[in-house]
Amino acid sequence: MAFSRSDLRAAVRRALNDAEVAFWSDVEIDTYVYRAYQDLARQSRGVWDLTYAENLPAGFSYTQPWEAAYADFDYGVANYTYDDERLLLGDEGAMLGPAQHTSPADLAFLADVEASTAIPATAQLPTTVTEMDRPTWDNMAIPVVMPAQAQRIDPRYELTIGEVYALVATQQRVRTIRKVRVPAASADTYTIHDTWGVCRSIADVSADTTVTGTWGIPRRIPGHQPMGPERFGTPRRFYQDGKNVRVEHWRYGRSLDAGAWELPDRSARYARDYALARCYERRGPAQDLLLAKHYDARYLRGLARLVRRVQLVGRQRVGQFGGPSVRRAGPPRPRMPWNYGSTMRQ
Amino acid sequence: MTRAELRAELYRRLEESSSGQVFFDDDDLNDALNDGYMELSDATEWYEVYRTISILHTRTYYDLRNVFDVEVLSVGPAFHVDANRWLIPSSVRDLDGRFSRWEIVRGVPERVHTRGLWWVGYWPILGSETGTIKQYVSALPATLGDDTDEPGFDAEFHKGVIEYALAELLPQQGEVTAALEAWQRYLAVEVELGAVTQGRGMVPKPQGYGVLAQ
Repeated sequence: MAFSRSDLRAAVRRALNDAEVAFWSDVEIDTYVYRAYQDLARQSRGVWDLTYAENLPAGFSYTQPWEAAYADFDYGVANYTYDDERLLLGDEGAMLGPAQHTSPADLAFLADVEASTAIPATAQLPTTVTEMDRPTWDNMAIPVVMPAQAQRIDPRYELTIGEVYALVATQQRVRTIRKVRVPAASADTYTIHDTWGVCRSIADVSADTTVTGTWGIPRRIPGHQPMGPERFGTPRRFYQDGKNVRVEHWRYGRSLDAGAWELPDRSARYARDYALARCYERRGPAQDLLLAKHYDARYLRGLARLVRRVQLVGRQRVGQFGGPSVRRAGPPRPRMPWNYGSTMRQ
Repeated sequence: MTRAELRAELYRRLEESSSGQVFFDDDDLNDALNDGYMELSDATEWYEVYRTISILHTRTYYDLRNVFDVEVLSVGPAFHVDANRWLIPSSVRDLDGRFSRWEIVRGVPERVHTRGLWWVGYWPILGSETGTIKQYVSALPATLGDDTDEPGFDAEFHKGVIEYALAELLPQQGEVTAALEAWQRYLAVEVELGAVTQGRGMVPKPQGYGVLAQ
C-alpha cells in the first residue's frame, strides 16, 4: 500500500488523539514526517538507484538551477555556450556550463554546425542523491579519490584526456563530480529513429526482440534497469554503458507530493514514531518528555532494523566443500630489516 | 487466541466495556492489535516464505516488491532449481574485487547479491529466459482481517500483541506510566519470541564419550 502525506498525517494525529488540530498543526506534523522519511532513506541506504554522468557533449534544457523543478525534461543547466564567454558575462562563480545543444537528438548534428563536441569532465548529480555507492566506467568499477591522490598520479588530472579511471567529488561544487581523466571518447549511444513518440521497436536497444503480447508499450526491456525516482510509465531514454560513466548511488525516497511512500510500508510506522517524538518534545501545553523519549527509542529501533537488513546478505556464509572462500586477512604488513634506523654497535 | 479473543482481553485491560464503548471502539482495538502483530513480526522475522522467480532474459536486478505478494523484510538464501545449487551470497564489492566487468558476463547464476532493500541480482546474468530460482525471504504475515484469525506464532506469545496494543492506546487516554509499563512487558515477549525464532535450527548435542550431557 502506498502511503500519501495525508495518510501519514492521519496516523500521527490518531496516535496523538488530536483530531481537532488543537495542539499540532498539519504543517508541523508533515514537516516531522518528511524529516523522518529523508533520515530513514539516508541512514539505511535502502533506496538504491543509478544515474549516468554521460560522456557526451554537454547539453542543457534550462538556464538557472531553480527552473529544474518546472522542467518536464531535465537535460542539465547551462547559461553560456562557449568557454571564452565564461569571463565576459559577469560573475564567474555564477556561470554554469558551457553547453551547446538542448536535446539528445541534436548530438548527431553538432559537427555539422561546428559546435563544440568536447566532453566535459564534470557532471552534476541529481539532488535526490545522498551518497555514491559504486561508479563505473565501461562496466568496470572505478574508485572515488581525493584530489591529493589524483594529483600524485597526474598533477594535470583536470586537463589530461583519456579513459576515465576515477572520480573526484571534493573541490567541486556540491553534487558535482569530476572524471579523471577528461573523457576522450563519446559514450556509445543508440540511434533514434524519427523525432517523436514512444519507443515502438526494441530491436535497436535489446538483444532479445521477442515481444510478449501484441499491443501497448514496452514495460520491461532485457538488459535495461529502470532508474530514477519517477520510474513508472513508458521508457523515455536508453543508456549504454560502453565508454560511459554510470553512478550507482543511494538516494532519498520519491517526493511525498507525488503521493507514494517509497520505503517499505512498515517503515511508515517508524516515521510516525519520529513525528510523535517531535510533537511530544515541543514546548507547549501538550509537551510530554517521557513519551517523546519513548517514541524516539522506537524510531531508532526501526532505523536500526532497516540498516541491518541492507547489510545482511553480504555477510552470510555458505558452506561449500572446495568452493571459493572469502579471504579475510590481507598480505602481511611490510617490516623494515631488524637494524634499520637504529645505531649499530661497533 | 483469535482476534475476537485478543480484543476482548484488550477491552478488559483497558477497563472498557466491549458492548458499551466509551473511548475506543472495535476498529481502534483491531488496528492496535494488528499493529502489535506486525511489530512483533517485524522485530523477530519469524515468518519465512519462498517464491519461485522465473529468470528473465538479461535481467540485471529483480524487484522483490513485485515478485512477492507480501512485504519482504530480509532476503534469505536462493536456490537455482535447474542447476540444483544454492547461490553464494555475495556483495558487489566481492564481485568487483574478483571479476573485472562482471556485469557483462553471461552464464548460469552462481551468486546472489542485493542492492538496497528490494533489488536482488543473480550473477552471472543469464542471457535467456530459462529456469527458475527459489528465493527465500522473511516477510510480514497477512494482518488479522477476521475475528477468527489468529497470529501465526505460538499462543504463549500472543500476550505480546496485547501489551503492544496497550502501549499504543493508553497514551491517548493520558495513561503514560501504564503505557510505558506495557511497553516493557511487550519488549520481554519480543525478546523471547526472537530467541525462539533464532534457535529453531538448533538441537542439543548428541551424547558421546567424554561429552558432557546438555
